[in-house]
Amino acid sequence: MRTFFISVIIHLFFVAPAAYAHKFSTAYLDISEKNAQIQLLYKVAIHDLASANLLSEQTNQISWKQITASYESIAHYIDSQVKLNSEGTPCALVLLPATTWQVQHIQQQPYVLLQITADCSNNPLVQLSYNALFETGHSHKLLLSWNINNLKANAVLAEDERIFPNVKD
Amino acid sequence: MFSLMYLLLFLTQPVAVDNTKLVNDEVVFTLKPELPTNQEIDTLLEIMRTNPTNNVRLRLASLYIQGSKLPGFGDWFHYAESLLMQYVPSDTTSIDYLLLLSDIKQQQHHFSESLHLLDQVFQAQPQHIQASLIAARIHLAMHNTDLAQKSCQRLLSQDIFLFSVCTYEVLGRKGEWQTAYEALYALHAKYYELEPALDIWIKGILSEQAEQLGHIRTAIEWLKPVLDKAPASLWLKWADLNLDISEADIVYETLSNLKVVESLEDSLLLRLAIAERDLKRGEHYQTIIHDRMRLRVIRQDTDHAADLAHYFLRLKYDPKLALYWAKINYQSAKEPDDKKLLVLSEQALLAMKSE
Repeated sequence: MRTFFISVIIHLFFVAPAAYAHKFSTAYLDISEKNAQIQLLYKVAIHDLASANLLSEQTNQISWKQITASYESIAHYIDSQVKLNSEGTPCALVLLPATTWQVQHIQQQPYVLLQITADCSNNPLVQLSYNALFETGHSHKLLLSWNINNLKANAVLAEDERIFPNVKD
Repeated sequence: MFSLMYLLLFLTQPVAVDNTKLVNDEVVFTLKPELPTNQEIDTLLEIMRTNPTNNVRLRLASLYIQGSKLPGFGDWFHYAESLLMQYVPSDTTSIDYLLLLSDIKQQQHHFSESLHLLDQVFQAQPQHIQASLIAARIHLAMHNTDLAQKSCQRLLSQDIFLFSVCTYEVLGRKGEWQTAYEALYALHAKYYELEPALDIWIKGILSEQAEQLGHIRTAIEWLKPVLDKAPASLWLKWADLNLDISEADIVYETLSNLKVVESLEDSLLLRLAIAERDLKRGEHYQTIIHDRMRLRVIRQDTDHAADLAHYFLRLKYDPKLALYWAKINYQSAKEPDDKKLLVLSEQALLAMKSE
């Protein structure tokens, strides 16, 4: 048999080109206002949480209990990667307890629904800066549904478009 | 348009999911299909837990990428990407690291970035075999046949067999299909016991050349014996060849019986949905692919736009949109299939306008 002297990774390259797309990573964020408080509903794939090393167990199968046990790491991640700013001042974001979390299947993928409240001290000029999950895959995008500050809009945030509304000079 | 489509995403019919189950009264989610060759991965994962090093990351990423090329296992690509991001570059950045990253970039059709990484390999080892093969592959994808031939040339002093295969593939892409096919056929016949990955690679080229010569059934025959271990791109070719000769039955039976059918890549799921429609076997896979394609349109993804062009050409017929996406696709990928897709989309639009 004709074999090779070079390393095992040569196997990778004896294939036709990738004529197909790998799965795209999509998260959803609904931002609305209720009783004068800004509320966020963040829908994120469990697969993406695992890719970002946010789940306490790094196994292929994960239970709901293990997901909710990762509250601290997920809360810390959201706090550092999802920012609402009000005239340059960050709003305080609070991820609600894991008992409020839910699961929804979107496109055959299980998603966790995370509820977050934002305290922007009643300042009406709010801007979102979203930086989550871009580092774990170039194709991550956020489908944003925005319904605050008398502005109702949908937007797609991506690695090169992370701010909404994007006020340009 | 956007709000309406956004809404539609959540109003579609629910379809079965097999990634959630009850274990001891507790809901358990499966994150990705288990790779077939898992023992080595398990060992490396164990080492990663206790002593993560660059070397282990590379070995693991290499296995993940290898696995991700099989149909239905594409999720592993993202885990490989994630691992490579944890790689700590040093002054002597590993050639394996550059090759893996380059392969990831070429799979994403980020060809310039991929070639730039390969240049770094060539600076250290001008005749590096794997780097030369990837470079040839990228130049072919961009239809730069002269540059592809130059990449093949680097192999001449290293491995005459690889140099020959590489050259015959380029010769075919230059339009000399008959000469290239006969030469590669003869070479392959001489080496009847090839290492499996090499055999798959060559049979993939022979299949393309047979197709270009109009021998569709021969093209299918080249792929049949290696299909089980072949990457998703060859499965895609196999499915299209069969659909071209109205063999939807074999496509439907084979793809729908895969264990990983629910996690099939969009391109393969689209072929399954086309077969399902042709055979009038319900609308299960069509429902799933409609949802996935709606999302792709909303996201305005331009990577691998061929999927959308095929979708609007062959399932949800809209020649205008098919041509729109085929043109986007052709900006980055210029393989024979990309050219064919562009021409068919143009013809479909012309036919629609003349009606």
